[in-house]
Amino acid sequence: MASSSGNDDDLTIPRAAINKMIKETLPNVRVANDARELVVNCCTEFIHLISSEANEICNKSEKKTISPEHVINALESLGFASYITEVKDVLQECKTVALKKRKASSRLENLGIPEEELLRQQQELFAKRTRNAGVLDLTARIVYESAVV
Amino acid sequence: MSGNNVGEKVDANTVNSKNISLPMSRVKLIMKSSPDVSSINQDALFLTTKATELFVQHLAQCSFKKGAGREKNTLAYSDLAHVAEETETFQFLTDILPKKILARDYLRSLEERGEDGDD
Repeated sequence: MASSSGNDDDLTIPRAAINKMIKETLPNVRVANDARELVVNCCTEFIHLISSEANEICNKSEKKTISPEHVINALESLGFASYITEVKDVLQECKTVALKKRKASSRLENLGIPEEELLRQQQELFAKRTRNAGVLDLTARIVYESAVV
Repeated sequence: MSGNNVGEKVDANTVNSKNISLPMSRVKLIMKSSPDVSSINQDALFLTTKATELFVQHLAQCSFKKGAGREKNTLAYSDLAHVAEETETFQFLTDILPKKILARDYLRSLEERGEDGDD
C-alpha cells in the first residue's frame, strides 16, 4: 500500500497504524476523520522535531551517528522527559529478548549434550570437512554422528 | 546508555509486536527527510519510534480529556487544535495547524468589515 511518490513531504506514518493506536488509547470514542488526519501529520512533525534536536545534539558532540543518548537528550530538552523511562525500558526488553533468542539457538538444548562436547565434535568435523560445507550441514552432521555414537 | 549490549542491536525482526506498533522503516525515512540528518543508530531509531507512539497516545488522551467532545465521547479536530495551542509541549504543532478560526468569529468579522473579505 506504500505510495511511490518521490516527494519527501508526503512521508507519513500509515493511517492504519495511527487508527489502531487511537482506538487502543481511546476505546469507544468516536474520532472525526479530520482529527485522525491531523494526528498522522502531528506524528511526522514530532519525528522531525526529535530528529532535528537529536541531530543538533549529535553535531555538538562531534559524532557522526545519532545515538540513543542523543535521542534521550532531545526528548528531555523538548519537554518530553516523561517518555524517557518507558522508551528506555522497552528498548532494554527488546534487547533481552534478542539476547535470549541468540543463546537459545546456539545451545542446541534438545540434544542434552554439553556445549564443550559439541564444540569438540565440531572441531573434528571442521578438520574433516571441506570448506564448502555450510554451518547447517555441520550442525546436522554433529547431530547425526552423536546419535550414531 | 552503556555500551554493554553493542552486539544486540534491535532490528525489525527482534521487535515484539507487543512492544511497538509503528513501522520503524517509515520512521527512518521521515527522520532522514529532515535536513542535515545523516546516519541514525538502530537503537536510536527504536527509541524515536517508541517515543512517537507515546506521543500519539499522549496527544489523543490530552485532547480528549480537555476537549469539548468529552461528554459525547467524541474527539474532534478542534480538540486537537485546542490542546496544541494551550499546552506548552504541544505548541510545536501549531505550525502545521492551518489558521482555523471559529465560524462565528469569522462571520462576526465579516459583519464588522462589511463586504470586504480580507483574508
